[in-house]
Amino acid sequence: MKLKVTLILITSLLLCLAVSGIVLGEPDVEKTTLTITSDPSGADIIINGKEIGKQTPHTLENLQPGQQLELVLKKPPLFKKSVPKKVTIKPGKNDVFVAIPETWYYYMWLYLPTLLKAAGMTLFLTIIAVFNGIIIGTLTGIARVVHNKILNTIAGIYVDFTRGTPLLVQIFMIHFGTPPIIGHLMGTGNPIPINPFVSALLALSINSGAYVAEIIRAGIQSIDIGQMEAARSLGMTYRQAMRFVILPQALKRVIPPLGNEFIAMLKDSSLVSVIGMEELVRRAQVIVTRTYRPTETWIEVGLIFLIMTIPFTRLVAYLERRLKTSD
Amino acid sequence: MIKVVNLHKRFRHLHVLKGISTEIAQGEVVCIIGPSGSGKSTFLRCINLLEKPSEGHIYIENIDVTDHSRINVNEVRAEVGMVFQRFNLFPHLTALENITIAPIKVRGLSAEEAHDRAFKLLDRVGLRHKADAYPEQLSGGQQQRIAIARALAMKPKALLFDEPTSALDPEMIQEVLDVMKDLALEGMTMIVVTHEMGFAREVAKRVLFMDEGHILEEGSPQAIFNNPQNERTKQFLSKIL
Repeated sequence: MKLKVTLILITSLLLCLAVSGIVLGEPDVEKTTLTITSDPSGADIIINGKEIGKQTPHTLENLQPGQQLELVLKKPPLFKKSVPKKVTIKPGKNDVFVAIPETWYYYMWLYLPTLLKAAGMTLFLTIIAVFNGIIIGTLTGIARVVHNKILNTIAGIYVDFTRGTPLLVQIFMIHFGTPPIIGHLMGTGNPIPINPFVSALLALSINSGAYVAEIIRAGIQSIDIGQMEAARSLGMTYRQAMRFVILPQALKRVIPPLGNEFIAMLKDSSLVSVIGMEELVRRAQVIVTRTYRPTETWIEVGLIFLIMTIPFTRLVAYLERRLKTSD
Repeated sequence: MIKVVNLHKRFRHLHVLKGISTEIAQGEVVCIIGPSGSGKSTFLRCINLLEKPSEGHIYIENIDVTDHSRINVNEVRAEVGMVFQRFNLFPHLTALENITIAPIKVRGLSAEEAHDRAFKLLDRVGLRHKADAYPEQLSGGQQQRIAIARALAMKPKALLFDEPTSALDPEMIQEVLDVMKDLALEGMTMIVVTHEMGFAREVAKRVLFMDEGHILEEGSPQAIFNNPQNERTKQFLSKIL
């Protein structure tokens, strides 16, 4: 029953086509179609100055051979229109490909999503590294000021070593220097490679920890000695005085420099690109080797970094102003 | 109550206290006067062990507090309150919290007990209405009165004052001295390093004159101020009176 109806429909359709063919005097069995594709796809199609409300890729049917069409692809605002293309329709299948000219801003727009995704990785890496750094640094910073020679020395060596060597060297030491040691410890003798993400996180956390330790130490030592004396004179232990009197004041003063440390780490994290960690800079390098457009790519990378750092810079400045008034 | 025997204090090569011996009775008010650098403050700070004596002994209620093998320094300090020249209030805490923090954390008082105690002390120094103010919102005189209340909240056996009015504007000195006078009248044992000769004359039972790490002369305020025996004392008093 259904089949019958369909059959009838198709025959009537064919009949109509035939009739129209007869009427126009140009009987044609093969349909004439025009398939329009573009790079990138998704552009609006304008034919003879009229938008047809379709986007590429799209196939137009019912065209007559010999017809002249002027084809334009409309891009999102900001982007140059593609050069109009004149098409003469041949019988049968017509394929037209229109590339949108790669202006610099179009190119940058094209790679923005990829780069933003990579920037997300940079941000994520930095947040985790600084978070770890704050934990390591607070403990180390306190270890540097308490009256305990052993703790002072250990913390001092860690801080001096980390601040006295380039971050790049630390990254290499962790990523390339430790696998043989781990291999040796595991008894296999073969180096055991570390995942770049793990190396990167480890290197950045350790590095950040040392800088945070100095910030915390400076914060604690900036508190007037009279505060400790007053607390001790009330019978508080050193630990109580630290916890209830010194640290609450020190931690408040430490917030702006910690913000600066975050900004510095956000920028320095780009160094982990050398071990193949897929963050913003590494991603950009890969793109450049493919597209040969270093100028746009690196400008864009710079701008993305700027957009990430500016809010934090402003926030730090605001906090500094607020703390100054309350001090 | 407090007995000091042959107390010495050296900072590396600097010999600040050169054998101090004296005794302070229960309820006695002793004022220490003398030129700057004479070791007055160091002496005071040795008594509650903010400075570790290099030599000699300090007995508080017959317990040798310089004997570190037997003594918990923190317990000693809890029993001897100290008021500083620069107040040293905790800036991140309100006046009330400044007073309650040590009783709660050191003495283990409940918050309510500590608050009751604190409000009584605030009444005593006339600053109940400033309970919720932060130190930066208080005048110097008010800060010092809060600092006295803070020391008193530990119910100390003695109070040490290290030039409590030296950092104050002249018009605020009296309100602090008044509080101290009240304390003296109530029988608090007090050792006061001061340049307020009027206060020393009026309130002190005994005045010590110190110079270059020695107690050169001691006696009643009348004796010291009206009839000093030591040449150095005479010279010092002639300059400041």
